[in-house]
Amino acid sequence: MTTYKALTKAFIKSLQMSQANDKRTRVTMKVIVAVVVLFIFVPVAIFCAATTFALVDNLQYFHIEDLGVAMVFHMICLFTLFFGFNVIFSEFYFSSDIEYVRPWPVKAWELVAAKFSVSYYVDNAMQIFMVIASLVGFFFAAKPGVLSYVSSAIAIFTLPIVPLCYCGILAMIIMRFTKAVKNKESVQRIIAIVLALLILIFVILFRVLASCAEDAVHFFITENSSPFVEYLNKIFPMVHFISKAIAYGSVPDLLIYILINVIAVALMLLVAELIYFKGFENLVANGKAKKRDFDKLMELSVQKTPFKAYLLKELRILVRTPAFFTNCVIPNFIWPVFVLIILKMQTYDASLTALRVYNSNKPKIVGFFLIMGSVVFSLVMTAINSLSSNAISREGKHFQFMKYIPVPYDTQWDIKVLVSFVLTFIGIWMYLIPAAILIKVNPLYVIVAIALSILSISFISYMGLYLDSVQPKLVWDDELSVLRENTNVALCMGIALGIALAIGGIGYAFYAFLKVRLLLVSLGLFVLLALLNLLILWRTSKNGKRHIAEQEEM
Amino acid sequence: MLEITNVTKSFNTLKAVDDLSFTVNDGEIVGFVGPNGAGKTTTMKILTGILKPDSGEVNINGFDMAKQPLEAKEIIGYIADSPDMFLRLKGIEFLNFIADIYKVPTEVRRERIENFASRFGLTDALDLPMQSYSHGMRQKIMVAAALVHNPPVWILDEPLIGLDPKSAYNLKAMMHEHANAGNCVLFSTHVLEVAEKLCDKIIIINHGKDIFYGTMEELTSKYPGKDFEQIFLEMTGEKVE
Ligand SMILES: Nc1ncnc2c1ncn2[C@@H]1O[C@H](COP(=O)(O)OP(=O)(O)OP(=O)(O)O)[C@@H](O)[C@H]1O
Ligand SMILES: [Mg+2]
Repeated sequence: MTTYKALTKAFIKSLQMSQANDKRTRVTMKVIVAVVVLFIFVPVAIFCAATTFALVDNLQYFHIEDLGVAMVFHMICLFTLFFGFNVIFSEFYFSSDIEYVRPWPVKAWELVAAKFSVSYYVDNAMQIFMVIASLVGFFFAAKPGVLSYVSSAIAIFTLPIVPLCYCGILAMIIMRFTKAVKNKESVQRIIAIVLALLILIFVILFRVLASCAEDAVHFFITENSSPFVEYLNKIFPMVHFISKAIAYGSVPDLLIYILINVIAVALMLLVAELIYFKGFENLVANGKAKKRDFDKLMELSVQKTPFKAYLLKELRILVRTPAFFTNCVIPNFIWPVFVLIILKMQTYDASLTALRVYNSNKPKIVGFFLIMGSVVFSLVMTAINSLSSNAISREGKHFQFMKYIPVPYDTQWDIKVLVSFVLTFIGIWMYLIPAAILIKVNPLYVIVAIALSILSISFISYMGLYLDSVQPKLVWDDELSVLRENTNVALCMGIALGIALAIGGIGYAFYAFLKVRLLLVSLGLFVLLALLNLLILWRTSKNGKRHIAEQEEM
Repeated sequence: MLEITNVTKSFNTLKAVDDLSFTVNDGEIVGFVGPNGAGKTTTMKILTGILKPDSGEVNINGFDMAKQPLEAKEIIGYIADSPDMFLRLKGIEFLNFIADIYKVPTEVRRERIENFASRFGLTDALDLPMQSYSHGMRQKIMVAAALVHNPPVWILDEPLIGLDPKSAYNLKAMMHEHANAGNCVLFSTHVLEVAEKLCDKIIIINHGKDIFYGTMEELTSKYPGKDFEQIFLEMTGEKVE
């Protein structure tokens, strides 16, 4: 037990150590936390609370209010299961401290218990929040007794345990018995594939799912149960008991709930004792690739300009690092999928012929949407892909390389901006140009839209890089963390979103209410964006180079 | 020629390099020794322009690092203390990338890469991603990359770490050839025998200050009857049992 405690403490310490501590980061952290709370936590919380409230409120008439709680809890468990997997996997097998601890004489179960606690610590904020929110919804709807409060308090902290145990057991089994996972990247690859499949299935089955939901509601009322809950009860049996304990304040149910949790943890530790250490055996560095012979390599070794070579290096690293590829490159090219999803959810006709007819009837409105849309989208997309806003952070340990090679900082700067610019621009317009041609939009509008889009992308690219240069996050050993935990990325996104909203709003106001002509509005936008570009170029030339020269944290 | 004059560098309150001055003349190999944390890596980072000194000057073959950084950087070959760089690239891509950065013409680079590949036994590894390399292989590719533009000034931070005997031998031979051709080499090491055998001069630093700079003969004549190890331990304030 003491070993377990010591390990847990050490792991959590090492987590905290890797978080930046300077003043600027702390302030930005606060801003980001506020934004996240406002835009993610609060909506999710309201959603959870409202859903529980509505369900429980309705189900009370049938005296099955526990079903309402159960449904929401099941959703939370599924959520935990899905997002916990990555965390558990990287904590169990890929965190850097595990390398040090493994040779020590610690038992597998102690190590896993400590790592499990750390995963719980890392991963639980959102879940706890969701559980609390749904309980608030419940208490508004029902008027339970003291025991319900006790059960609720227990549920708040223990609900994620069973799903996380599943993740742990699954991770250990995968590592022990399959060769699917050779390194951290394969986990991310698997998760990305599963996520893509889920989205695809969701898109395809959208209509079907909607009608299913209606059937389910019907079933709910006639049968006093729900096939959905019944089915999930098999996966998360403890939810059934805790929701009964909360809804009716029953002690036996609470005890069974606790027992199930204990069994789940014990089972996981048992599995750990049996197979955890063996799982490491399948971990190897990248496999051998097909080799070309030496003469061939020499033939390919041809001099390029430093500019081209540096650009090529940036692109290669982006494409070959899975975390960067999926987060920075792919979004530029798959956004139409999401547009398609949104279109599918709408009731109006978005077929090509309908759009064509609409365009020939109201060409100016289509032109307006194309122009404003591409400006707003360019601004936001450039920030979302974070190609520029983590361009320096991405260097990480290589950062000093930027400083000792004889390539001027300006040039390196421009290359990084260029990468962001080119990938974003191609990603947006390789779809929009064909779409505009198909819909037969007036070419003049397309040209104006492209010009404004260029200015938008260029502005955010320079700004992102500038933001990142002030205080890049250079100390990281997990490529995902440089994307997710980088305050510069979030800051850039916030600013881009703000500017996009402002520009979109003002443009709309001028065009729709003040009836200013579209080309005049565009001209105004052009001047505004050009000024923003000049501003950021001026800041960059004044300070950007200096930031790189003075950055010494490495 | 490499010259560092009155350089001081602090991290917060810690003086990592304290009013350090020395010169490495053309044709010389100079060994840079000192206990862990003495300031060797920091000094080398200042020499290569990675860190800016709080005060003092760095001069590389007549180019002032503060005023003409690009010219100075172009003539330096630097091996950093960690070889884990650009692991996503293949060995050959990395070498070509560095050769491009230093503007090495096609024919010249082919010849040099071939030479390094055979000297260091890298031929089979060049077409593989560097992620799959062992530590020593990474170190070898770093050596090759640092020297692919045949820079006159070599600044090598613990270059022999992890090299197998043949590669270590070859690198040492290359350092000799390089110095004999009228260039200069500054390299840090913890292996005193290597420093003793290979170097024309030795710099010993501790707490950022240089406590000795001169030839081996000068050093041993100061402490008659003692070997380098004993002298080193005594000078850096460790007890000799
Ligand atoms: N970026 C940094 N921030 C703060 N302190 C640093 C930084 N880099 C080095 N130091 C400190 O400066 C001192 C000198 O470090 P340096 O790396 O130059 O030593 P070294 O002689 O190369 O040691 P070793 O033989 O272990 O490689 C050490 O005390 C170190 O902790
Ligand atoms: Mg060092």
